[in-house]
Amino acid sequence: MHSSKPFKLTTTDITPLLIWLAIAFITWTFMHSADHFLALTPEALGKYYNLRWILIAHITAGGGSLILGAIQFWPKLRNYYKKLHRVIGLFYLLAVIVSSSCAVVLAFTTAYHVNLPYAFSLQVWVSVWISSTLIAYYSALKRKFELHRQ
Amino acid sequence: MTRSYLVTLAFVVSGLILKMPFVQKLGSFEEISPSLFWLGWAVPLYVYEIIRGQRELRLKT
Repeated sequence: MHSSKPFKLTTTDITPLLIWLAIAFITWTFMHSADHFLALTPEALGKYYNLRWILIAHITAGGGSLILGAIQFWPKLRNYYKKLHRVIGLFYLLAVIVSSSCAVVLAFTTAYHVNLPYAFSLQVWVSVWISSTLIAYYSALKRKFELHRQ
Repeated sequence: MTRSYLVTLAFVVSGLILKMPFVQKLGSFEEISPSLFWLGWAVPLYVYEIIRGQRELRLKT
């Protein structure tokens, strides 16, 4: 499933790897800042208490989508291991579906505790997230790779 | 995929902007967060479309 040339890391791989490491580090920092929710108490969760598992699934899958998605832009990995690119892509899709489905629930419930503009912003954001991801997946299925890349 | 990931990355972009001290001085979280959420994904998508358009134009000429 890979190119005839052997896979070898070169200086051109430094930039995508550094970008991926930076994204992974920022994601870890953001997820770490939500650790207090894991106490699962009404005090720690506040308005999210009734939807605690939705919130935790949203954060966990969201973090996964950030880390997995970045790998897909590493040109060498994409060109050498097409099967791996597809597998990571499917996990990315799954992570987005889980995280965005939970985001829909949160955007139409707890977000209103903040205010209407806040809730509306999240509703539009999640709609764009779901539609752009489904377009990427559908275009890959239809082998329209230029549209898939976009 | 690029568009999808830019929207995914918007969580990090708007989160980082919201943590900036001078942004926090602009108002309360309730006041400033909706605008920053829009900024987090709409601006990167706009910039991407400009770059893509320029690239296509260069290929045609």
